[in-house]
Amino acid sequence: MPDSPAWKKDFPIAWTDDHFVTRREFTKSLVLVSCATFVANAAVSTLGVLQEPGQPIFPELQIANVGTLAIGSSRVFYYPGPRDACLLVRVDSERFVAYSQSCTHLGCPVHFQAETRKLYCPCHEGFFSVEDGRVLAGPPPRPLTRILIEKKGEELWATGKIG
Amino acid sequence: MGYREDRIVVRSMASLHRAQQMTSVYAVMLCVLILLFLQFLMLAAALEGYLAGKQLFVLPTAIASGICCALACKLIGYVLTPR
Repeated sequence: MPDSPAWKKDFPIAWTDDHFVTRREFTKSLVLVSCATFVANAAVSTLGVLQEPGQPIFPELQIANVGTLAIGSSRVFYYPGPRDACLLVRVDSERFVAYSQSCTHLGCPVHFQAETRKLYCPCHEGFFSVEDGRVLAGPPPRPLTRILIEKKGEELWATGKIG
Repeated sequence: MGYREDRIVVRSMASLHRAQQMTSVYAVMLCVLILLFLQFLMLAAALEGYLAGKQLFVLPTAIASGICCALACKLIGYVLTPR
């Protein structure tokens, strides 16, 4: 003959202990979630360490000849990839600057305004300085990506990018 | 004091003891909840840093999350360990 009735097997916890057990079990579940969160955080950290990019190596690319670009004019070229549109501007007789044509706000192409000597994004009225690419007005959050240019004789070469 | 009175005293003592235990369980639960909330914040910061390519916050958040997890385990051990 069994010591306790059969129904007690289905309801092993006394009513007075019920709340205590429920909260204790809930807290155990919270700790499990805490462990899972830590594992996720460690995984993200490991991925970040494994995929930490080194210094990117950019190719050298001839983008223009000095004589073909008038002072105060601009030209679109693609660097470093064939889809990365950039803008080359001749500021004065000796000075050339180049920036990524993609606006840092939402990626619209920026244009050079010769009369104001500013780079202009028509999508949301963003303005950048042609001297160093910094934001002058509008919603863009950071300066334009600058393309490094090297003058080799009469040729202009793109050699890298900053930002 | 008769048998019936003895049982009443024992039951009321048990219920007081249970109330004390419940207080500690609630306190531990609250602390674990706070720690978990902090861990979620740190996970969000780590993901943000990882997706933005900025690794500066990723490792410190993982260490802090581990400390929170260890604290939570210590707290649940306090509740579960029989005395």
